[in-house]
Amino acid sequence: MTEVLAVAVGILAVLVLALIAAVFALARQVGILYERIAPVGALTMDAGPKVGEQAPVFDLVGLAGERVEIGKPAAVSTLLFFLSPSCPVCKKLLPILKSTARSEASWLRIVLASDGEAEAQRRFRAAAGLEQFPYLLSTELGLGFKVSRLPHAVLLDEQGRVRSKGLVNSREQIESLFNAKELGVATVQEYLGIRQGQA
Amino acid sequence: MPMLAPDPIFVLAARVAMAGVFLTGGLNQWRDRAMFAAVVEGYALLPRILVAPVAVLLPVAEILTGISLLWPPTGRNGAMAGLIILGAVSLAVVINLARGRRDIDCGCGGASGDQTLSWSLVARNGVLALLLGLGALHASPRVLAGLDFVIAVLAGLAALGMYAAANQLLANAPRLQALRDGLT
Repeated sequence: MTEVLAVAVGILAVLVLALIAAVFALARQVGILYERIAPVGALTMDAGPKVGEQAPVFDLVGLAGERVEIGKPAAVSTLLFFLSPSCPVCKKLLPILKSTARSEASWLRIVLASDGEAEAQRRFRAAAGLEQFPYLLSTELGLGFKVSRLPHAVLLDEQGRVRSKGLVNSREQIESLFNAKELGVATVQEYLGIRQGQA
Repeated sequence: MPMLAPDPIFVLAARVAMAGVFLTGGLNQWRDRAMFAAVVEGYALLPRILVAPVAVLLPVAEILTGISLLWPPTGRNGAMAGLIILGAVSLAVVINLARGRRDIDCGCGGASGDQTLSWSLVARNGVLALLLGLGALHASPRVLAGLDFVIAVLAGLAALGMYAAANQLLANAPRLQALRDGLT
């Protein structure tokens, strides 16, 4: 009798563990799906300088003492990436930013922007290995572009005009900013709207 | 004889599960301790000079707690130490929730990487505290057979698996909310 019980418990234990593993795997896949199907492109807020408009001009000094001009004509386009050490999604995007910086180096420079205490930001910058990017600390910059939620990205062209912008949560959304610039539409949402209108 | 004396198998299973929670959490935080310092700073509770030491000591304390939970002679002390750690970090979460800062990184380690703060997280810690309370009890004096240990470990693993799944769902919640907000 006890032998039967032991076998039964053994089988049940295996089943329970397998089911829990399945639930965990499903939860993970659901999480990945949420991330993938989220907004089609970067979610654009209405506030701040509009797409096509000239960006406000800033002449700032970065964490490493580097001088950075924003909104003035430059040789390459600028991706302004607003982040904060306490924002989990920003952290997830850092490796993506680094690979983007490599693959798009021919036409793009990436500038990081945050605000708050310099010492903490400096430690975050070192911990995350962000020394390759200019890193600005400026509340005025965030106010100038009306950044309300992080991570927020603004793409400026060589003339300092805003070409696309929005809340970005994934690689796809960062790339959508570039697509929006290439296609000459303000946002991917607008692009889809045009296509639907034609159909 | 204490009033509340559960069968030793419950106490053992609770300790195994909580050892898993503390060991995975502590090891993850230790492995990524430079970033964990930024997380600790994100909670905005400690004077700057304490941030770096706490970011190192917390994972170490969690790992030691996890190990002591697994060793029967120190299991009870491990459970009590765990209650103190869990209480302290939960308090940090509650204070930041009360300040309305829910978008900061939880830094919980464990199964998922990018969890933010929420009241569900506090509830989750409440359940963990119950398990630790169970692990801190004196068990009834029953002599354990070999099969008892097997079952205790399996039950502990099952609880750990559920913890991992719950963590994943907690990490999913803000993304689902973002999706819902985007659709309206």
